[in-house]
Amino acid sequence: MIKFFVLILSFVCSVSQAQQENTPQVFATVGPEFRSERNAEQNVAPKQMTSLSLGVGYSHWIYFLETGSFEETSGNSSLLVKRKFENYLGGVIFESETIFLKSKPFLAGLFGFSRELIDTTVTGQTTNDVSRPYWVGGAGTGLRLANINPIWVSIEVRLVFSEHQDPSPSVGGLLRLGLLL
Amino acid sequence: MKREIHRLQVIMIVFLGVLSGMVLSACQGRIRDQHPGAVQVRIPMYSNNAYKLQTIELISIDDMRTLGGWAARFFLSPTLSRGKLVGMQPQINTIRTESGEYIATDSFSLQLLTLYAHMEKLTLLDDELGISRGDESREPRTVAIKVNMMSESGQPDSDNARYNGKLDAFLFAPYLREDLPLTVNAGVIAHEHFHSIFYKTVIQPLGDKYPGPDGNLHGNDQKLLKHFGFEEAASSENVGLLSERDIYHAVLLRGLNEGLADIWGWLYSDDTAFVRRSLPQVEESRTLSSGELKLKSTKELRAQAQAYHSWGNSNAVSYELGSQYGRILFASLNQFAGDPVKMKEMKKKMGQKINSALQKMTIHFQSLPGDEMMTTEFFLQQLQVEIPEVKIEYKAAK
Repeated sequence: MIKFFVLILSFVCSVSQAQQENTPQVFATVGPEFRSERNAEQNVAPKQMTSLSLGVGYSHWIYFLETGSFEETSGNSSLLVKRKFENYLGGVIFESETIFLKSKPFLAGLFGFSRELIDTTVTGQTTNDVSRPYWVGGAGTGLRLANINPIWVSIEVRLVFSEHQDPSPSVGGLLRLGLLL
Repeated sequence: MKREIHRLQVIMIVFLGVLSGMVLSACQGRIRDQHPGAVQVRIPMYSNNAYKLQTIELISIDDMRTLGGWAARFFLSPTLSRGKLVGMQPQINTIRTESGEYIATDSFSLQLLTLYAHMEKLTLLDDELGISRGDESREPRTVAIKVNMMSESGQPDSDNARYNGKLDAFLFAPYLREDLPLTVNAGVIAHEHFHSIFYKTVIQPLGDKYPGPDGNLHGNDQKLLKHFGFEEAASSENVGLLSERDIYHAVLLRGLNEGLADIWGWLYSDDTAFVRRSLPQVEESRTLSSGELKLKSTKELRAQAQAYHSWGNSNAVSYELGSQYGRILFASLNQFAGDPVKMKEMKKKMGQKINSALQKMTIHFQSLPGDEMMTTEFFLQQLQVEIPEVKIEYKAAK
């Protein structure tokens, strides 16, 4: 874990050096995120969550915090399991000046944790449990539509690692819609 | 442009570092799922007339993800190949709380975790009672989930569980009802577990002398095996060749098997109405604590077995007889209901003595002359000799 923090720190330092003296821009987006997860029957099934991001951008660099969650229920009325998955991430986006397909390509790095909240109902009695935090990290690349400021429309492909999820890494996708003010 | 390329190179290097760290972290997570030793799991268990979540310690789990351990080995919707079940092993999804307990994150995982826990506890109970299954190396029991079985009517079977002696496997069909799934019903699991004890204590030693086509416990198993493609075992050509004596003994032994399995379900779970929790439609006929304490006479059973067999439904007579055995034995132990310590002691002793009485009954059955029949009362009389401190009382039909 220490090695991991050092890496993140060096990443942030390299970013700071590159910052220009531009006025910071606030960034806020919302959009669907898709991940894959293996169920008990060993099928890898897609999971969709809604991701919210809030950040600040300096020229090519955008620092953001992101949260996402999804819920699912399984079982019958006598044995019901409700699962809520929550993601809390921080990340950095480096955006290129190069225009490709009327878009700006970008690279993204993220790090944070996830947790799960489980409500188990057995013959009418419900018990609530929360997991310990599981480390999550990932890298992504994508395209943001250029020259439509202040509107942000981007699509991103992600490789997400987690100490808990299966498969790890999992390939995911994220569509962001929002504003860069 | 050069500056931008330089920046991208820096970023790529950092990304590679971050990815390596993540891979390492993910691998550590996998290692943490392997637990050679005790683990705490939260599963539904029967207590005070209801199923509630309880924390149970499992001692046999090697890998939480695949539920690997000496108690059970699961197969998901298996098929039959060369007389053995083959299929995919399921993997369960759990979280670990701050206090270290494992909690299943979906219903199927919870069912498998619970089933594993019961298989472990039942194996330990066998050890405590001195019951050997002829397998001292502790091979995991084979448990098949979501098995594509066929019902009596030839339709896909559901809401059913059974033990198959030929496969030495517990088979659970998909559960489609809104009641307690069979895979978490402690009484049902112990009931099926007893069938494996009966198979190894009675059916296997009797071999060809066992009065039935292939020693299967349920008539359905003919169709089940056929469905799996096990044509040889599924052949029912010799069913019609059974003598009246064989039909009687087949119904008697099947009834005894079912009745003792119901008692085993109660001895293990403390639940007198475990069948009804998953299958409410059979509440009246299978509840141990209700009904008269009467037992069919040999003559009565002989006549009914013959009649029902010709209609192709001798299972109904077996289940009826089984319920009679179950109620008689339950009532005999219920005398100690006011003294929980004595009750616990007597339940354990009853478990031990059922096994030894079955062994003696098997020897008696093997030595029966060709024209003699084992009476419906024989087992109870044998058990009474084994456990004189428990009064086994019933009304024998004439």
